[in-house]
Amino acid sequence: MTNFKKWLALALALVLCIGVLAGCGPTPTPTDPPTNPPTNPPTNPPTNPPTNPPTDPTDPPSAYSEAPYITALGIYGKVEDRLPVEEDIFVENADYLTVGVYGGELRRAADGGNWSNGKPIEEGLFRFTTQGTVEPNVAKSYDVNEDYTVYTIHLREGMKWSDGQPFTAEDCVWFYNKVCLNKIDSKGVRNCHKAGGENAVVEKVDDVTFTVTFAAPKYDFIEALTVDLKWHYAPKHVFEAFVDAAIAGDDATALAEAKKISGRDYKDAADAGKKLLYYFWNEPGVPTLNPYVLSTEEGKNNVKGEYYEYIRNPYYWKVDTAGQQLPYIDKIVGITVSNVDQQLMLLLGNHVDFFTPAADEISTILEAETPFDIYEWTKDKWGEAGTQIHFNLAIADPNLNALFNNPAFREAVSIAVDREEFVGIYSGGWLKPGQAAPGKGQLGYSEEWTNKWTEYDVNKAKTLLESCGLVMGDDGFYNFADGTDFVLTITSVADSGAAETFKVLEPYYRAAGIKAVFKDAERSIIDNDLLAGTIECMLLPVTPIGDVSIVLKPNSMVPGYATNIAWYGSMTKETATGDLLKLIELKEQLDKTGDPAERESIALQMLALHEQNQWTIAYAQSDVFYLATNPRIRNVLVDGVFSDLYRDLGIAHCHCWYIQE
Amino acid sequence: MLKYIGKRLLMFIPTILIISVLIFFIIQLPPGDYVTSYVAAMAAEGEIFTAEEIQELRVYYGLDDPWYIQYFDWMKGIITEGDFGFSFEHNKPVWDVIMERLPLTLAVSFVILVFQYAVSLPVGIYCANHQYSVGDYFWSFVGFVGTATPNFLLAIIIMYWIYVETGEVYLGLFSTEMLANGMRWEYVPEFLFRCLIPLIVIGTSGTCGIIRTVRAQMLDEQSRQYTLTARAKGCSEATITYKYCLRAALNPVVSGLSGSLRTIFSGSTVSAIVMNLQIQGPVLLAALKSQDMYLAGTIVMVQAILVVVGTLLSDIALAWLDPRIRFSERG
Repeated sequence: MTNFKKWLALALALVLCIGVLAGCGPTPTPTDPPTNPPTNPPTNPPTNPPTNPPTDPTDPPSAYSEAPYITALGIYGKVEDRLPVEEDIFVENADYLTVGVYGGELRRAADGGNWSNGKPIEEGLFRFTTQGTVEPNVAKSYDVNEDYTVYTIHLREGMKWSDGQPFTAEDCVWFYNKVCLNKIDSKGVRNCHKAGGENAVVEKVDDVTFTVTFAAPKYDFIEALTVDLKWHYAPKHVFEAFVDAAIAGDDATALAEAKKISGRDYKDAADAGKKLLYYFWNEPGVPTLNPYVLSTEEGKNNVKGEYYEYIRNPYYWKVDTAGQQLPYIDKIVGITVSNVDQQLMLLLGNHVDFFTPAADEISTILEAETPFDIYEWTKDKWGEAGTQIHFNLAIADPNLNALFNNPAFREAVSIAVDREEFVGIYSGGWLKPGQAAPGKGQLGYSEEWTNKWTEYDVNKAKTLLESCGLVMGDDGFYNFADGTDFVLTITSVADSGAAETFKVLEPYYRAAGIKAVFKDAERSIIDNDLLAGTIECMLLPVTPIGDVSIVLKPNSMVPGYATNIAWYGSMTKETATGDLLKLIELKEQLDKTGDPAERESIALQMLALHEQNQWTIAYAQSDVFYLATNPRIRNVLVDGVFSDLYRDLGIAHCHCWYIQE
Repeated sequence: MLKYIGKRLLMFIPTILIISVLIFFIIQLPPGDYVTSYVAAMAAEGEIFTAEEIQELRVYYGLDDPWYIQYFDWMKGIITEGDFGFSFEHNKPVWDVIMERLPLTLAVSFVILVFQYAVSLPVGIYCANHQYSVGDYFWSFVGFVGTATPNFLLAIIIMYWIYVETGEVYLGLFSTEMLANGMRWEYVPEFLFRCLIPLIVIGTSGTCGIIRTVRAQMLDEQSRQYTLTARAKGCSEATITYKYCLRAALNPVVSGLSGSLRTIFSGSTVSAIVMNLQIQGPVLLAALKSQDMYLAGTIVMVQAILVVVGTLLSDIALAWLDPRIRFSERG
């Protein structure tokens, strides 16, 4: 028995040791900077009105300063030597920004997504403003010739990669000619680089200038570049050997070179190329122009691991109006969680600094003891996505195809529902009744469109259904004229909330004589069916209709631009007819038009077709995007638009956020 | 006995092969594949793929081949090179993904296993020896409630209670500070406290189940004739309980050990997700959801192997524990 006790005690001690050791991360090396360097005294309390004296980027601050974190490291030299030449320094001077203080960590929780870390810190050659226009970012400026075939891009002189090496036009030209043309980053040449059926030619002029030449006029190159490719550069000095080996098909050398860069093993050269040159912010050891760079320290360098750190780029090329090198915050630290609820818990427990809650989580945040700042941004979807109904206009069944393509049918389905009552039940009063239409501030917005086909009238709905050739059966439901049953099969993703929404909608449909049934399936099954174009009708579509710009990102609004849009399914220009064909042709015409006024006119014509046909239905206006932040975080954009086009949170320019305890 | 073990070991190979075919076939059953899941996940983050790109991805991952070709290639890699394939989701060899979480999974699962048996055996014996006493009723009540309460619900209740009482959120075994700075002595009390939560949550239902089993078995054994005989011969109650009844009562408990090996390897899944434990269970669930088939297939196959091995070990243990089984085996 004594022996047994000894063994038991030994086993328990061993288990405890394993547990402790399993949790032991690497200890900080002596060269590690302090995690919380002393912060400067606040130069501008956040309650004061914004003080942004220089509003003209050509009027740079007279002196520059750096974060104490960088100074404490003592290895980087003078800040002036790390910034571009004075006239080329990027001064962040938006009206809403105040001059911040250095220090601290921005804490976040995420599920390890590829883009959730990348978008907030992404630095494109150009970037979108909150007004939807494009402005130079990494690039200093650009010129274009008269016929829009040659674009000359000017870079910032003296700009450096995060490893201190010079960033030049060679990095941009090499990236296109080697990486894109050879598809080393898995994406290849993007649409923005194609015109007249040919790929563009990219050539270096000097260290800070390169040209992009097209075979035919490319009117929207700058906007398309900002949407499609964004960065247009890669550090040649780091990747040259890897890319050369990958092009030569020498996988062994390519993998060895890739490992030299990130210290990681990859499946093959293609895999390494995709990770290192496309999702580069997720790989350690890759120099970037971003404000933050992934740590190279083991235990902190895996964005899919339990914990990771993005550390400030000592060579970042932007400053505030007081001449302080950005970013203000020293690190972004991330912890990986399993689900959204845990992110909310961590926010409430003061373990993370920001979170994007759903509407029903707002009340929980408002009831918390800690007062959080809640920002309401506009969403880019047409109407509330959860109430959008997409009829597959390319469905194979001839009866359904004719019916769905009849505007009278869509109007009937729209007005058959009492929206006031519906949104009361659906959202508990959070939303307003409305239609699938652009929201306020978006091109094409009108109150008339928002309210189109929204007046509840069940008798008119029945009349419209009959005008479509449907015949009322003995069971009180409409049938097709050939006597076959008409059943509106509405599909959605399982556990998405659509089943509950359908329960609210179904009695309205029944009252109008529409027999509607609901079926849901796992996301993978739905995605497969979307690819095959076999879903008849979808509630809460996987990709809702709507975006900030039909010109720049037509995927959900013009047939043929994506593979998973429920309302046009597998439709292409060859199969489209009527107004749908006209819509596609207008988009093509738009791509061939350079004059901004004419482009806007075409875009408005495209939107008018949407308004006229109302190919998709929604029963409520779009809700807002919520961003909840710890009140210590300052300089958060108040009136934003949450859109992938604007890089989601990226439009908030997180490098300008600072911490005021 | 050796012949019996040898026979069982020989049966082991075809069993595992059949299981591996079934696993691979079932994982492939849902419509779509990893590329479908990947494209959908990327679309949710704003990245759109063209139909051509999707097809290229399918070719790249070898998903355009029929499932049996994929299975054959996978098995060939395992048998000839010990290569369990590549995890699409984690972008690493499957075995590396498994090994990353194995130490913590083993530690958590083993501690929980020890906790379960260390608590349930004495309590079960106590309840049987004091049938219908206040203590028996108390532990029976605890046993029923513990068995009936889902682990994940218990996890939520405990985490909520701790948050209300302390204002602190305990997710995972390691705090952000521990992860950032590495393990230090000053973190040990918090680490132990964090360990306590999954110990209670995951260990409770198992413990309660074993308490009920031991109690029932002990009561059954105490009414057997050999117990009466021993008592009539003047054996002490301790001898009757621990030398005779307990050995016989442990049969179903030892049989249950066959599944424990599998549990030790994968750990709890739903509870681990709720508590954000970085152990194997959530990896398996994520792999199944995203159809990361080589990772999911390998984890399930290792689990299956452990069940087969566990069954063999428990059979051997039973034969050692219960002389009646040894005698019947000899015929």
